[in-house]
Amino acid sequence: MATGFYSCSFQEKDIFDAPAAERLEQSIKDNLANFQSASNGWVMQYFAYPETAGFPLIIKFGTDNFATVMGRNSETGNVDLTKTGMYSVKTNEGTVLSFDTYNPVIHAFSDPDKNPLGYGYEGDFEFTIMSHTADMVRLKGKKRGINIYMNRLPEGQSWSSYFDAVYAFDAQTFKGAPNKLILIDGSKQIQVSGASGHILTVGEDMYGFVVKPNGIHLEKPIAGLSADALDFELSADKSKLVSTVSPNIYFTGDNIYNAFVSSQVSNAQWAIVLDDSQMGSTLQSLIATVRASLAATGRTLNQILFKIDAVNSAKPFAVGIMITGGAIGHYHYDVTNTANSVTYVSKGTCDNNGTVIKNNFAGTMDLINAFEATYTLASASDNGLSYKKIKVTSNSDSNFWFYIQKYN
Amino acid sequence: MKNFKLILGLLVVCTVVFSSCKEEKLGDSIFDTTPPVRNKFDQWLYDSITIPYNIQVFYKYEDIEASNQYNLIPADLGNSKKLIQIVKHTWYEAYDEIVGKDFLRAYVPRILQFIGSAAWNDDTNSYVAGTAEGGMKVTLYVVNWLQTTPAFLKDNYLHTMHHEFGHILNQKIAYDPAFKLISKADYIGGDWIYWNQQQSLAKGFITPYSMDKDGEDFVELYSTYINCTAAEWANLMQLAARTNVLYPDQVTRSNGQGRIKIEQKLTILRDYFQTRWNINLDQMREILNRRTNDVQTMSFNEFLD
Repeated sequence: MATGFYSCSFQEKDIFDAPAAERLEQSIKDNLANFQSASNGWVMQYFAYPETAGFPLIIKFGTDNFATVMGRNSETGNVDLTKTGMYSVKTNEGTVLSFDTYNPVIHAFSDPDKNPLGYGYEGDFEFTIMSHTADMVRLKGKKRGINIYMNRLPEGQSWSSYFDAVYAFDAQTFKGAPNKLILIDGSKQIQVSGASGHILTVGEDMYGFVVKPNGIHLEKPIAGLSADALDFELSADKSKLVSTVSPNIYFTGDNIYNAFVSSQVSNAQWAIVLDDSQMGSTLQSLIATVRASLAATGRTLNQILFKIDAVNSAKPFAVGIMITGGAIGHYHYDVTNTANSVTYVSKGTCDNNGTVIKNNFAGTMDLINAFEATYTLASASDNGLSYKKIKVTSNSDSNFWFYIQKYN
Repeated sequence: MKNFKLILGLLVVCTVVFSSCKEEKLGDSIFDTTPPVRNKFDQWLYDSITIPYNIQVFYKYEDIEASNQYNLIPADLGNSKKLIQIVKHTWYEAYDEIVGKDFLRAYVPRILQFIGSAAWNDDTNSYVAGTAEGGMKVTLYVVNWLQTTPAFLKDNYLHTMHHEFGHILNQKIAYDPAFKLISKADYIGGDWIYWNQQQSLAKGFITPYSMDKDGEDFVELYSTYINCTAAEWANLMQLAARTNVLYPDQVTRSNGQGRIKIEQKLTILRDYFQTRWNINLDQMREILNRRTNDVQTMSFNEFLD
């Protein structure tokens, strides 16, 4: 009897204000409403696999269960591709966003019919919804467990213009630029490589990133920093990429002299801009002599390159003279740099092509000898992270100046 | 009297216990009981597949239904719309035509699932185009590759569908044990992958996979026979009759008995389907081939909302 009474009088205090099923139903409704409320869509910062480069995708969620997805990336041939497929928000180990009929833009990163066969990129197309606000949604890939963020795209911004801005920032900042960046966290300085491939290597760890119109979004926060920083934006003076959570954490470019020299060691080549308006009178005159000599035999001066003579077993620094047909003569130098200068001292040697060119075309050796100097470098690039174009000025002859830019 | 007091006492106890709990009226369900909103395609599936055949079609990717053994992607919606019309025409209605609608409603797997990609095997040299699980679910892969040619449909779907349906039927009614005796010594389990089509035919098996075990041999023979044209079958029998075909061991060779063994098995198969299921194999073959050819000129409903 006593048991009978107790069983009915005991009442557990409610922790939640509604049963689990009701809360799940409400979660679906809330998330659907939030997705669909972005009339210009969301930018998804998509990563297929840990420690790989990410891609932006723009997604608009319709009220008819169809999502329109646009991408411009290597899988779309780097042109805009917009496709529609179905999506759903459902409960399955939490509230899940699923792109549940084929959409080639997003499923390109999950398709096992792509290389390597049976795997492809192995990316997710189903995501647990971890949290949301009106402007941001945090998702977690069901298979890979990668945090994937969606940010509301502002009204009025065309989708193509978003990708234009991403591609422009990538071109200005990462593509074809020296790989090395410096990560600053207060007094801590860390060398970072791999930026041009959109995978930063920091010590032993790798961090993929997605390029944004004015910054980057990392796949995961860099370990060991004073704050968990995922998003970085270009500073007003364009000198650094600053964390959105801490102004003390930022990426900046490598020292320009280090960048110029070490990039050559990594097989980068720098070409002088062969345009009279882009060089001083001393070099104009030297080049004119060589050009005239080449022209007498129907040849042209194609490039003057700062590079490594990779064929030589000692792999010395060289100035390369490329003439018609692509033949390059390599003239060897000892190159040293400080934080404020770089010095070229001729070794007096050259390869076979170098011998042929200097013996047959007047002015070649005057030109080569003129490069023996100490130089001041100044960035002529769009921002301070990238040294894609550099002004080079001889410290001993203010009329001996020229621009160089990355060559292939 | 003593008994009366005992009964009275129990009644009091019961009354107290029952009355102590206030009767609660059931409220509304905590679950969403709103009927699902169906688009045109969903409505057609409900009216044309679910109601008449008792089959649920998963054309949208359902993680809990899909195999976690493979990397997979969802099926293309347009191809799913086409494929279900093809399945209906070449599978469901083929059986309707020969044995009536009740037959399929009783035996067909209850779930049909579409997957966009192939289910690639680990060696990535081969893929699974279709599977059936315990007579309950058939999964068709490579939906995103869909073509309407008879060769594509037979290789990727029709052979699988009829193979798996054959299993369901002979799990309901067993076939004559004499079948397994014909090639009893030659079933080799998983080693069938080392045999090619010509070698297996010459050994007395209609496909290499038939060599796995007699149950697979039975349904492979069934599916191959009804999916072949008469000319294609005649060609297979010619190959099966060849002598001197070198086997995978690189030592032994065929003795010309392959065709005889296959035709012995076919006799048992033919008798089984005729007497147990009232299905005439040659009639079934004519129906299937006609319907498979129809697909090339079918006018597909796009179910545009």
